Amino acid sequence: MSRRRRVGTALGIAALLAATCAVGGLPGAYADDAVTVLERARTATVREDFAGTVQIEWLDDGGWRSARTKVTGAGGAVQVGEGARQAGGRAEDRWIAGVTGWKVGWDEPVARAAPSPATRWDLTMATGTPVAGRATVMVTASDPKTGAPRVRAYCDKATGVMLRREILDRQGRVVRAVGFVEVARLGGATAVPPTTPQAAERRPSARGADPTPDAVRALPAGGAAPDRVTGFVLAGRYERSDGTVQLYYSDGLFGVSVFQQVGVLDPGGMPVADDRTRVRDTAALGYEVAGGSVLVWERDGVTRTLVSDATVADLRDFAVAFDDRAADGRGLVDRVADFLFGPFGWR
Amino acid sequence: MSRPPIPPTGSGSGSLDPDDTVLSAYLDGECTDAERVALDARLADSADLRAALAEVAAARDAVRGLPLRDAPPGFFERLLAEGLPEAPAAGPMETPAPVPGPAPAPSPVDLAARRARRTRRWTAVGGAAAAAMIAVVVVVPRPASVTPPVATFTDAHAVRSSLQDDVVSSLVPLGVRAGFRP
Repeated sequence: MSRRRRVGTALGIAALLAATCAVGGLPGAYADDAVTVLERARTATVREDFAGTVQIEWLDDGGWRSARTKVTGAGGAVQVGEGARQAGGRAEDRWIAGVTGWKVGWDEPVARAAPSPATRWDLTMATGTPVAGRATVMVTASDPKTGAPRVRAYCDKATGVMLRREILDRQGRVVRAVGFVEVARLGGATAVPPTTPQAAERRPSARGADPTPDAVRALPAGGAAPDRVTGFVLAGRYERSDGTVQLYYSDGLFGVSVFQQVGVLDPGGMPVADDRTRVRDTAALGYEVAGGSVLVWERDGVTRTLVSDATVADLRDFAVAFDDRAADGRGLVDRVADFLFGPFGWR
Repeated sequence: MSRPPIPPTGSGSGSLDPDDTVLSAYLDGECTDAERVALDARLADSADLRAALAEVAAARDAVRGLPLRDAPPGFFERLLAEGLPEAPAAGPMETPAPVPGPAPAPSPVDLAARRARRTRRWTAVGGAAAAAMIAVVVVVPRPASVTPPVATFTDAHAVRSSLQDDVVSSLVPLGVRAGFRP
């Protein structure tokens, strides 16, 4: 073996050892891969108690908007907000507080697991910048076609709790972020879980009907529920008490809710749209709010509202694909009616 | 069926007024000279006949004013096939000659009758189509209009999302003002 070759071999071994040490420097739970880190973060708030302040920021019509709220977690029960704007969760139950008190927001078991984020995204892991004074591990999810980062998740090194999540647009610019700006307590678990609103104040809403969505198998006329839409997988479909059908799609990284109402869109009484856009040849309303991006449009007498933490541009692609899949699934009678009455604009 | 002959003015059959078929032929210029002269004389004498002529003219103009539409394939063939049985039993003078040879050219009277029949058929077809379209508009209900409660939907999405994603970052929007502009 020549001297040059021995030096090269030594350097290679040294690099391998350095890489091993770097990974070994992380807690054992993070020595796996990015998927494990994300999965651990998703369930960390059940295991770890915490308290602090979270800030949510989003880009709206070219300007940043932000809001802060208190969050606490104890014994697996999470609570966010104060006063008339609060929400809580434990296991598969959720509660929402309003001016009339707490009401149940969800009590359905989740039947289908979300797909792995690695199915659609390239995941990488690196040491992240500190968040609220805590050391983090950063997982970046990138578009495999463009290489553009679309999500960055900063997870606490010690506990695995997700401390910050950034959503980036297709050009790699941050357009939405939610994260701790203050951590008062983090780590450990309460032996006795606190009393939850579910046990104390579960009651129907003022409408006198169960406000929680129920899982449904059969969709009302005009509804559609394709199993897959542009990399998203249908993870559940539910019917609300007003007849609205909610479909929930996930690609492991983003979630998209599709709310379907039978009827033509009447925009009167709706909030002022941030973005008057189009879904193919149909006018649509776009919003950027704290809860995510919203897109509303109507086709064939069915009004659909998409809500997601993905960007409006992503939602437009989703909407076009959804419309196509919905049209594919329409029956012969509907197609004949379209053929006959379409030119007259009756449908 | 041929139209009845136009009785001459002052003849014993003066009570037999020309029917719509004759008047239509008159308007179309399909009467013979003698018939036209006879009818002109009757029109000069009879206000009722002039009124009848005016009605036929108005109806004819209304029908001809209808927009033209392409008929479906085979429509005319079916229509003509259905129209054949309606033809009345031919009289001795109209019985086709059993001998081979070119058929005699139809007389102007036959043409007028055929045209009048066609006009009535088209009027009936047009009326039926119009009635069907009105029935469809009235009977087929327009879908109701809906105004999506986008703020409620946004909250519902956050709740559902928190079941499969990070709970804190999913539920935080429920703890702050949504940000919709009224």
